[in-house]
Amino acid sequence: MKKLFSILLALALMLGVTVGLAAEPVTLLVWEADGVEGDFIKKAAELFTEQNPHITFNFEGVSHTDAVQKLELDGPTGLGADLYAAPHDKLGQIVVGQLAIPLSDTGKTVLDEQFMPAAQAGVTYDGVSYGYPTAIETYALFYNKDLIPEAPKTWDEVVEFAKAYNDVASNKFAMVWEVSAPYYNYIFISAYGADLFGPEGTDQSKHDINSDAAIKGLTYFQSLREAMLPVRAEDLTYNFCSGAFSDTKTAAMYITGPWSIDGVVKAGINLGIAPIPMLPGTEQPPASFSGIRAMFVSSFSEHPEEAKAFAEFLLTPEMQKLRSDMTSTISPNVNVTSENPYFAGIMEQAGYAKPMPSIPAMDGYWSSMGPAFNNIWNGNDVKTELDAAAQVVEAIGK
Amino acid sequence: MSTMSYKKKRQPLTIGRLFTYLLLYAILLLVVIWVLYPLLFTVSSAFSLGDSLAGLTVYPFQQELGLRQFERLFQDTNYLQWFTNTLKIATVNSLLSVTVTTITAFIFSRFKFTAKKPLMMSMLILQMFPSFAGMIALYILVWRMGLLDNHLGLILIYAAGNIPYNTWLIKGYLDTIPRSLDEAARVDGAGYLTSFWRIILPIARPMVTFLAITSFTGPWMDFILPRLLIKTDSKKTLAVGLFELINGRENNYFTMFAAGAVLVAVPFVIIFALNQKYLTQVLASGAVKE
Amino acid sequence: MAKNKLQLPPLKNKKPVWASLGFMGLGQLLFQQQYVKGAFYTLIELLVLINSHHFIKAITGLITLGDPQPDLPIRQRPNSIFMMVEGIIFLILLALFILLYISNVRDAIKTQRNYERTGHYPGTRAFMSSLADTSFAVVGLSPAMLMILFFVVLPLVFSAMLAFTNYSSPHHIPPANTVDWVGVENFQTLAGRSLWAGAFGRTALWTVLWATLATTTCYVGGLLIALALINKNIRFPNFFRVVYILPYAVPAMLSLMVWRNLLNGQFGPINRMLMEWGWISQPIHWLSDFTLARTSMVVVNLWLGFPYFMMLITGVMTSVPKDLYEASQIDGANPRVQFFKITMPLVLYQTMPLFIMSFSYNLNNFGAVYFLTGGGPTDLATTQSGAGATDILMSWMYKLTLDLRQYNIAAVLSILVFLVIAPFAIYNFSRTKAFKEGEL
Repeated sequence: MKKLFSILLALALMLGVTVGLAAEPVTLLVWEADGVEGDFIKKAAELFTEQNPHITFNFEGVSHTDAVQKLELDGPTGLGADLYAAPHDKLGQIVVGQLAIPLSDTGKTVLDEQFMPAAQAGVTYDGVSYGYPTAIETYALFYNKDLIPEAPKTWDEVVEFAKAYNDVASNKFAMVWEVSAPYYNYIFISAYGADLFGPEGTDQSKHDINSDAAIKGLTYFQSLREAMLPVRAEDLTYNFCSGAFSDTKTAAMYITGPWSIDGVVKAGINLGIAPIPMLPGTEQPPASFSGIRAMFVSSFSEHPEEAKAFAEFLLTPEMQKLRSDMTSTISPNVNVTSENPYFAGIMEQAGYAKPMPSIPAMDGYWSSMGPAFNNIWNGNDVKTELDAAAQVVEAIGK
Repeated sequence: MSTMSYKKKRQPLTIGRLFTYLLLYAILLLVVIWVLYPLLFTVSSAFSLGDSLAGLTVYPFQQELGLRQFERLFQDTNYLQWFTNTLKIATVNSLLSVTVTTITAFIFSRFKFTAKKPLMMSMLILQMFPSFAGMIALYILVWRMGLLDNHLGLILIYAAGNIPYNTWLIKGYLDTIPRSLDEAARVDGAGYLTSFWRIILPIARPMVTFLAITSFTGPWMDFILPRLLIKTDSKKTLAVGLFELINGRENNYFTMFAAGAVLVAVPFVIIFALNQKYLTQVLASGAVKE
Repeated sequence: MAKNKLQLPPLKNKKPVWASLGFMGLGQLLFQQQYVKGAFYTLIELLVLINSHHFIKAITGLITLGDPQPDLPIRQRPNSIFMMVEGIIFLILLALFILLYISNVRDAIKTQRNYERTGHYPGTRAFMSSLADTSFAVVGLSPAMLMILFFVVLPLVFSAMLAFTNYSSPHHIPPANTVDWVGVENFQTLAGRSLWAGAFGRTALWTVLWATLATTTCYVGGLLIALALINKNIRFPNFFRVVYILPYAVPAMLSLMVWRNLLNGQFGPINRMLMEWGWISQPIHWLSDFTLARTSMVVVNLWLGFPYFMMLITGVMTSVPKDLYEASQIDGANPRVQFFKITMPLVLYQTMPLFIMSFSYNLNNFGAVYFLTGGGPTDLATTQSGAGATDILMSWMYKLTLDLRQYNIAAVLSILVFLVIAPFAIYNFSRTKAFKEGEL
């Protein structure tokens, strides 16, 4: 009797194990922006399902800048995605809020072996990696080759060119860019050596916002208005800057990033991309902000293993290349090459770029430097403005 | 205008009068230009081929024109779906608001009960509390009710929001209907519901229509609440769909947004234009009654 | 219920009342033969008792807001905000239950008194007809009251309560972290932050000024146009009216964005046109000069808002009864007197409620600021606090909430704003027609 019983038990166990091994169907929810990024993710999901038929996908169009905030509410209610796209500068928020689970060992190995250092740094916090990088970007100098055949290497050259080219009455300006955006104008802070939150971007005490280097850079920034772009900061909106470059074609140069490439080319511009001009007295282009776009696996996911598998699938060179082609963005995987002629300029500038810091104190940079740049451009005292911004940053997290 | 009595007859034309009227016409025409100027630009950008809002040409319609934005609207987005969703929400909201509010107003008007005045005052004042964080509370409430990603949740919130102010408005109107009217009906044996339905409501029709219209137009351009509560793209409302076209760095399809918004405006404009006589009458239905 | 001025004699048989006091509906069921009513009440109490553990959990949750449990995986951690909202929900339910309980006891008393007077208890039929009659008020009001309680009062109470917590980035955002009650600490911090005091003062001042200007200009503008068009000597009034309605019909968000581009100092068509015509030689800083930006905001808002008042006032004017005019004419009044003594007072009285409503709408009119100027133009105070020259309290709070995620500070500001607005609004509402009982 006992023997029969133990045989039956063994059989039952084997049956149970076999059943468990046969994968049960799983549906994963993915959040990615609508448009070309969404198209890519859907395609990648299709390909993944071909190889793993028991995993299917649902997709919701959520802008990558919104996903983290959305997850804070949707996660606990069970409606959050299993995977979501987010820019790396949300990493601080993600880690503090514990909204993503770290990479598995295999994932980490792939990250370390195949991806650019900047990409690795962008998705790692305190030594732990959380994100699966999908694109790297920075802004650079876009120029219209029909209006200025060769890109200037220094700002002084730009000013020279502007003297001849500018015609304020007909709104012709040599260069336009959004002078109030903390994103773009970081170059004036970094040019003379100020390093926002230290080399890793994690040192909250060392923001350098009102350091001498920053003051020097922003004083030069302030002089540019009279020298080449005599327009008030409030008037240089995204609409008019991009319009001046792409639609009316009155601006010869524009500082923007790879997301604009498609629109510019479609408008028929003979586009060239070069690194950002150097400030006087420096020997290399100033550090711009680089952004890593990454996928994260939600810590609320009910199927973390399957989600991780898909995320690792997105790291493979084939998927990275597919994404790069479909979305006209640059893959951070070193094994991926692209024939896109415009990427060279971006990549060159990326060599000098610094990933945006993602610590919570960075919120203070975004909120206070916008008005600061605006006011400085319009003529306010540089030191006063930078001191005020520094105060805001220091107050955070206290 | 049939009850118009103000300046009944045309007065004789003197030079002074002529001058005054010419001046008046000039001013009115200037206002017309002022009103139409931005609208022409708006329509012009809906028909433009580029992506940025056509503020770059000095006069409207100077740039290249085409139907590209409209094509993109119908092909690349779920515009029609959004439109029908919003239509449904607006209609149901209108019905629900009217039903609940008119009964509430009727009760406030006809009944005496303790704490009536403080109750009504608190309803009105509380609505004025400015809050964004309240959205979080609504999200959790709606989730607990199982109505997330469901149009009903939205409708309930919109209707609830309509109640305080409109109750007060309609109550003021109902107060001007003499009590003797429905009291007579009650003496004849009709219950409150009957007297409400048969007597009060028909008289209050202009006001009720006003409420129906305003609660209909409300949900069309609200995007904050639906963004929070609705997840699936096929259930999105018009405002959310359009707003996402211009929100975020990659989505700068201002002209497509203009096309979408212009399409929404067209039926509204037509309705308003054709009915403006009735509408003015309706809007003024808190008017003096004898 | 009208209370008698005389003292009512005590009931002879108090047992039903005690029964209902002990358990809802018991008195009605056991003694008073009120089966339907009794069953209803009893059912309610049973429901509450069955769910009493939910009540207790939710309300204690509200008080404690959860303890940090960093060892638990995130999905299982107590979520302070969820606890807070659920706590408020159950508090409301508890309050409703208590109200029902009281009504249950009062009902028992009333039925008993009735019995002692008439000798019998009302039957089921009588009960049903009373539902459609005397209880009509209660039954009729309940949907509205319930909806308001949950969809208006709940968010409000939640928002206000946040001011007494530390719900903010970076260290107090659930679900990873808990939120705690901090009493009036936030108010003290705010008072201590001198940087913000200046910004608060300026923004508050502008908010009130803006609401006044915006509402008054739209009202007066609408009034003037309505007057002009009602004049019999103007032809084609309908054409004008249709055109003037357009700003009302086109979505405001879109119009504001278009205006923003039109008014751009350097590139906007308005300045370029004026320069082309030689009227100006330098661009006018419509949106980047402090005073001009505020003026532009008022003017653009006027564009958006006058149609509404135009339609309203036109309608009111046309429904003024003829007899008033005829009577005054007989008494020798000329058109001017008629206008000032008859038309204007009546129009003002009729439209005052909507004027007030429009004023309170404009106080919180975040859209007008956000889409037209984004709160700009900026100055040093903006760098320090986020509040720009055209920011009103509401738009500033939006920035704080979204950008810096200091929900608790934003809540404090909400309360302060509300405390300022409320007395003013109460005063004005209480003077309106709807608050004075009786017929006109």
